[in-house]
Amino acid sequence: MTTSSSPTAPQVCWGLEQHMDEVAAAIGMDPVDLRRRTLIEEGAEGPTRQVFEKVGVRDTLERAVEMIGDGGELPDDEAIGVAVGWWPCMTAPSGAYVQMNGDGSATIVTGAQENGSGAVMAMPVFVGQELGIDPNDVSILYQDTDVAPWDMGSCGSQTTFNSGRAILAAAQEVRQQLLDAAAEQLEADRDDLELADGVARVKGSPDRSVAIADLVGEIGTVHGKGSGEVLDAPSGDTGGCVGRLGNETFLAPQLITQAAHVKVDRATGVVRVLRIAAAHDSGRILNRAGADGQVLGGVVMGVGLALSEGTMLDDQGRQRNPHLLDYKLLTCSDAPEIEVAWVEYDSVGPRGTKGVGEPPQVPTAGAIANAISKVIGRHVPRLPMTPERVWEASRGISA
Amino acid sequence: MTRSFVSAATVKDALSALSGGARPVAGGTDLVVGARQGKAPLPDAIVAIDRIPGLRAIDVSDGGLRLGTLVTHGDIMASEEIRTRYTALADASAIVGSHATRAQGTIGGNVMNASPAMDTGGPLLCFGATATLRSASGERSVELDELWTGPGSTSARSDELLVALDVPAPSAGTGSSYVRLEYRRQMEIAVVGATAVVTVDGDRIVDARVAITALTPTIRRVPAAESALAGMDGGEGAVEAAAAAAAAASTPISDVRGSAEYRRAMAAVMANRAITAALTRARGGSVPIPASPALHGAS
Amino acid sequence: MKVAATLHVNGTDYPVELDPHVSLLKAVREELGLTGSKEGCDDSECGACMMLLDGEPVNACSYLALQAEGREVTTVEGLAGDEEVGPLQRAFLQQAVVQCGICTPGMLVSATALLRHNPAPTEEEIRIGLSGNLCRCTGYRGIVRAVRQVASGNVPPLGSAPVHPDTTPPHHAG
Repeated sequence: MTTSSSPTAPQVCWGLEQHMDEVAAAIGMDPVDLRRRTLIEEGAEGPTRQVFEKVGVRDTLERAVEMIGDGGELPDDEAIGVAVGWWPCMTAPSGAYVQMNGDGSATIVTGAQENGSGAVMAMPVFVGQELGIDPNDVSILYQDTDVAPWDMGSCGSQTTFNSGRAILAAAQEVRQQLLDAAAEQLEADRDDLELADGVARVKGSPDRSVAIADLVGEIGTVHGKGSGEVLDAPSGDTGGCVGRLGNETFLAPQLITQAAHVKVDRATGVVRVLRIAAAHDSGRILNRAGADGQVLGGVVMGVGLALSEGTMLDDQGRQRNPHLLDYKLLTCSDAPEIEVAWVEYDSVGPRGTKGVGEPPQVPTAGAIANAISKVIGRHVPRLPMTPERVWEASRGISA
Repeated sequence: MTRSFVSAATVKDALSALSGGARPVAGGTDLVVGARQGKAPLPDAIVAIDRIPGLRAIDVSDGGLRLGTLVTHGDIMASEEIRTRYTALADASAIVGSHATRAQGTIGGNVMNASPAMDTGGPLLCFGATATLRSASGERSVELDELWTGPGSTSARSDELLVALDVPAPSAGTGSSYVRLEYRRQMEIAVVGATAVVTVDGDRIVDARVAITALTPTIRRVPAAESALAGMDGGEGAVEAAAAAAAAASTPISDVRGSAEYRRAMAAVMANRAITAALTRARGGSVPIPASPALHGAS
Repeated sequence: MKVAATLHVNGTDYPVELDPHVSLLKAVREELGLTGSKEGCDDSECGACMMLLDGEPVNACSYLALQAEGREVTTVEGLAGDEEVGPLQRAFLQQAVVQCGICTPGMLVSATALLRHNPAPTEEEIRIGLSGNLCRCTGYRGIVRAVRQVASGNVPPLGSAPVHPDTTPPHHAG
């Protein structure tokens, strides 16, 4: 069974979060309360001695629980389950150019790939903020590494994090050039100047200004290049068992809590996910439409991973279900209602942003599993938790 | 062999093409899809029958129903007569494939494809439908359990065309239902299905027909289930006995959709739900169409 | 052995010569150059190829092109009629549900068929009516809202900013 994003995290979270619920049951504590008591916060130390900076995971727990509601008196074939997960930001080199055009508009040149998430399309916001111009006046030449520096492409939830960093660095070079020219023309100190509303002006004296377009005309060519500083993952101690298994520490971790309200048809094992509440700490959100879209799509992917998507192999390693009739994606009528909330704390990413694309799929299966266990009184030991497996588990048979 | 395509304007034209070795296509939802999944390549000579006038009618009379071979699942779902008096058939057509399958797929194509998992088969069988096959030499009526000879095969000759299905009118006091086990709510093939058509008189079941789907090489009725219900009051004991008989009559396979053991257990669950819904409807109660999703969660 | 025929697509007649086994999808994309309809699975399991045949939805990948002669074929390119972009497309843009875009043409066609049959569908009816179209990116929520928006006649003009009905405002802290 594979994932097409956040590889390994959904499965581990599914196992770990059911374990948390078992611990809660064993000590007679509500599973949400157990998480309240144990989730990391600023200053906490992880298993590889990573010390966490401000993380919003506790807020995500409260928001998800609040959004799903307590369900009131649920029928005995329905339950709510919760799971918490995380995913790192992947740091990678990237590079970009920003150039000013004669009319005061700007153009970004980047290798970053836009596949519909909205990550690249939001880059004009960075440049607009940095240069004091309208983001609608910033065009993008993207996804072309013949003309732009190397970029990792749309994977790893890192376009905003890495490509954004490079674009911001390039924009900052342009900013310096504009401020230098404006200081000379306005005979003012650089520190007294600001770029806003398409002009360079003296702070507090708006009549002492010059249009950015005019500055560009004066200078001739105004362009910048940037990569930004490629951040290292935080230091940690890899001596323990956890440390040797890949990402030993998490750079700018994205934290997620999801709560699932499910209905189980005990006689057949068919599970319907009625609602998912998803609360995410992905740092500052740059493009709300795009970010919400990533959660909505990722959650539905997560439900598929939980309940119906499974690659079945024969003893020769060939796939037995190589088509969409039997590799079952959710259809529109299977998809749950989904509510999304963002918990925004600053991060080390550009303008406090973090990645968004992969985390939404991480805790979904765990939340659904915890809900199913509450209904049938047992854990379903394998993913996907198909109706047959839920049925077998509910009868006390292991797969 | 060269490929050819003709669109028949009349049944006579179609029969002539069939005699020449062509194979018929109506909506293509089985024939063309089947060619993709390696089930069977497209025939070299194809005769389209979807333009023949008069084959898409639903004719209602006191004696029953005549469904033209080109009647679509969408037509069936929309027919007030079928929804009221042949409800199991509406239950079935309403959940075939997707909205596009239901718009293009025909009842004739469905029947002649002879899949052991087809949703409309159980209802048609339980209502006693007969297939009218026409050829150059005349017409004959075949009971469906004689028509279906195995998975994907029928007793029709290659020069015969299914032109209509005749469904006798059920007696007053009849209620029916088709239910299937589905993992998704749409775009599914029945993993297991069950049909029940029951007639009640007062508190007694005077007639019962029960069929199982996707559990045997061809869709079949279960006489043992039917006799467990006939003459009974339709209480829990009788229904459970009938459901157990349905499971016992099943010879399911294990495949990517489920193990034989799971399917056999689900045969009893689906039969129980189909019979219960049919009884509710026979007694004047209401179960939404389609019955399958409505009954999710029923114990 | 190719067969000569005329395909009537989006109101225009196209003379073609086709192998009898060619699907309507292949003919429309490759012979007519109308590449809006997509091939996702080629066996009626994803809906990316959805077209209308005399107003009824069809998985064009699994429909023989020659059978479409004499019928009105509508593809995504023909949905907006005389407008550059129709209300459904505007609603999709406004709900920000065009991510990778592969499902979009098929979704628009299925939604068109749904609304013609049922101008005031319930949420359930919308979801069933779109279940023949798989989407991997959007989770379907915004697409359903877009169809509801069109059904209620509330589609803003092109260029309106995306809206997020009842998305919770972010929790600002730190």
